[in-house]
Amino acid sequence: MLAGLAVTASAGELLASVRDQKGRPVGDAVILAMPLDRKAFDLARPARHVVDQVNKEFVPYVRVVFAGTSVSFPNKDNIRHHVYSFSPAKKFELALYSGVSAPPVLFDKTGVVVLGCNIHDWMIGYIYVADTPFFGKTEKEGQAALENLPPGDYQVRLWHPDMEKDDQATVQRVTVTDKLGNIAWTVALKPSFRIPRPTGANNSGYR
Amino acid sequence: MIPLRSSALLLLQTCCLAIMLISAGPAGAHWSFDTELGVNYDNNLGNARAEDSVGDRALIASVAATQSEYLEHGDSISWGGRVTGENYANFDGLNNLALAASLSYRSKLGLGPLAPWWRASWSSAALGFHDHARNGWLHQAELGAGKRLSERYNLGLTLRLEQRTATSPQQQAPGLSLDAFSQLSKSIGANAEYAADRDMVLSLGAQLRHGDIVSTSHRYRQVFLYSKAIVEDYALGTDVYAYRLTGNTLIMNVATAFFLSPDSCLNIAVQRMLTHADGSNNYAKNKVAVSWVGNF
Repeated sequence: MLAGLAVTASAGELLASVRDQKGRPVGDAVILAMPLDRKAFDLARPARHVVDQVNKEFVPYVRVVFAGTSVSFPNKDNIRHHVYSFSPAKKFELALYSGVSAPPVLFDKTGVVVLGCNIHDWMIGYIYVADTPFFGKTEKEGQAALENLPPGDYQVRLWHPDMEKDDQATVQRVTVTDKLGNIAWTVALKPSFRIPRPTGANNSGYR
Repeated sequence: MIPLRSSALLLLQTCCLAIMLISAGPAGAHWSFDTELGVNYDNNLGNARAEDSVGDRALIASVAATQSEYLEHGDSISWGGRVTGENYANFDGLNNLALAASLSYRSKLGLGPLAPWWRASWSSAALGFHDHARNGWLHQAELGAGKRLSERYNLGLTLRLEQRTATSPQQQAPGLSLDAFSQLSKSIGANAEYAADRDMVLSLGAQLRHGDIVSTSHRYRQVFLYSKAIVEDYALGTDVYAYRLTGNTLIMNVATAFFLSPDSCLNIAVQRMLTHADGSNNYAKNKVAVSWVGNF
């Protein structure tokens, strides 16, 4: 997935595969391909992305965008949300709103932006603001296809919200040609904890 | 079973309350519904001395509708109603249906999940028992505060004032109150939660309660001397009496919530209550509850 790029006549494709320390496929892993020749960046076009709020969750859980991208946060629930981020890569706050009334937010600084909702504390999401327009994200089967890559040499790295190490420790060098290439990682993930939703239990009775 | 007339009345009240609440809510306010089904076991229903204690299990079902209006800065105001029914396996007199209304204001002191919060809430419940002597109202006023320390740890404190009034206390005998089921108490409690993994939360709580307690037992001089009211308690047997005493109760809870989906969970809770009432009238009881909760 390379949104916002013009397709070139001789583009390559890279199939990335990610597994955890127990051999299980890892979804929501961000794959970033940095060309050594930055002229490839000229192919990047401005793009707009969306992070929805559905059933009091951010959808998708992880969104990857190229630096300089605007992201909209439509609220598809029948309840208002209050979206914010404290992250150094982007601090912002969209106070209580419903529907599509919140203005898009520009993500112009690279890094990880952690999203939250001040009404529903269990809601968490991530926007990875990439320093390259060539990226992808693994599906739950642990695979991602990076298409339309201009041929050349790349440094390819990986990021995941639960990764123990820094993404720079995952860098692999790959030469992309007009044939399908493969790249794979095994990464150590920390146990994932989420703030639980309130249970509403009241089982004391009245006797 | 609950008498037909009081059941029908409570059902009618419930429907009226539901219609009123649904139609009265401001635009943009959010309705949420939760339902709970479970089973409880209490090894000392009458809060009695060991030789008089009797236990029983009860099925419990509850449906609640809550409307919340979210304000700026993470504050919210919520109101709603809850209907709860309990059905005991052996002690029919304790079967009850309760209709409760509640109102609460919650304020968050900052942005984000780790911001501390406080809450003031009130609730009133109309209680209808098969044993009419227990019918009455339960009013609770509560102040709570809490702070989440991380995704895994959460702390809370609660101050509560509780008043239970019997709607039809038996006629007073000269020099002796028969209004044993009316009670007033205050309590302070603390609770800590720990997320053992993504789908399981453990909680530990302790509560210290001071005020009236009701103990049902055979005639004992020591209980009689310190009781403020006495009435024969037909719900728990023959020749047993409900005594209203003043005492302190330490309540300890251990609970586990297993999340089955984002909107439902299975709760298992164990509670131990140790009461020290005036005149060295001391009681212990244990409760176990297993329930399923679904939110809509």
